[in-house]
Amino acid sequence: MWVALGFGLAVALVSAFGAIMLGRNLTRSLAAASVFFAALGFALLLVGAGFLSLVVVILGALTLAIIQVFGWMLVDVDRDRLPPTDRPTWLARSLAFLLFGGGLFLLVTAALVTGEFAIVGQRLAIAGPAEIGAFLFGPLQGATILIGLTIAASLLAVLLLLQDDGQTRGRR
Amino acid sequence: MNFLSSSIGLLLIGAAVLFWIGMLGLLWRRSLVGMLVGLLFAWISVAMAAIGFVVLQGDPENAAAGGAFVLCVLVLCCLQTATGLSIVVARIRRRGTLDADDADLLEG
Repeated sequence: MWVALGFGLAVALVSAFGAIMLGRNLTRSLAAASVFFAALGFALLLVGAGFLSLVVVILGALTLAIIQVFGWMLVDVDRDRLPPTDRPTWLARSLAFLLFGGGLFLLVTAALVTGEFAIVGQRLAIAGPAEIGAFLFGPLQGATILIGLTIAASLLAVLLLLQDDGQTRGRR
Repeated sequence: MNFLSSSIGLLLIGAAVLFWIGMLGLLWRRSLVGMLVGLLFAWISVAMAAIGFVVLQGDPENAAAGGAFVLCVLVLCCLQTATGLSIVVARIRRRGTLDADDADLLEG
């Protein structure tokens, strides 16, 4: 099972990397991202995440669908046709990524050395939908209302941003 | 180190690598849509790490809180993507480009 988990994670990470690298073609990028979510769901199931793995896959697929739908609205999105980045910017970004990756590597190494990942709880405790729902509408009620307001505000912002787009199209 | 601890460690290391890949997309890609895909991976890495720590802790009392946290993170990820993409669409209609390097003026 450990090998299967490693394989699932490896496929997920390679697919995520592919989704970024294939970014010049949105359809290919989203196909790689879909593979990423499938492999991630598999890996999370193996870890014992249960219900939460389903939530991650469903909401991830929903986000990809949003990107695809908006992608169809864009002009010639399958090829962004941007000019190549100039050399000094390319070098500066490479250095920034190396530093950032090095920092993350040191962080993970330090956690492994100090044994942070080796602390094991008494048993696996992943809550089901009923427990999470009871928690969201019980002790976390205020935060749930805030999330609901955020959803409403975001949808309103999207409608207002696209309103002009619809009017412009109507005149053509 | 038994199976549980090592598998959670693997998941958390995977979350760190995924966050780096997300940053790669966010800072390397010049296409605004590509940047949003990178940001999506960064959000998912946070959810992965949260799931890993919930399983690692193994505390039934905090399990619902961890699940609710993951749910909130993913809902905010969806909202951020929808709002960001609508901004991208509005920008393309007005400026006709996806290039993030052209968006260098903080004009109203």
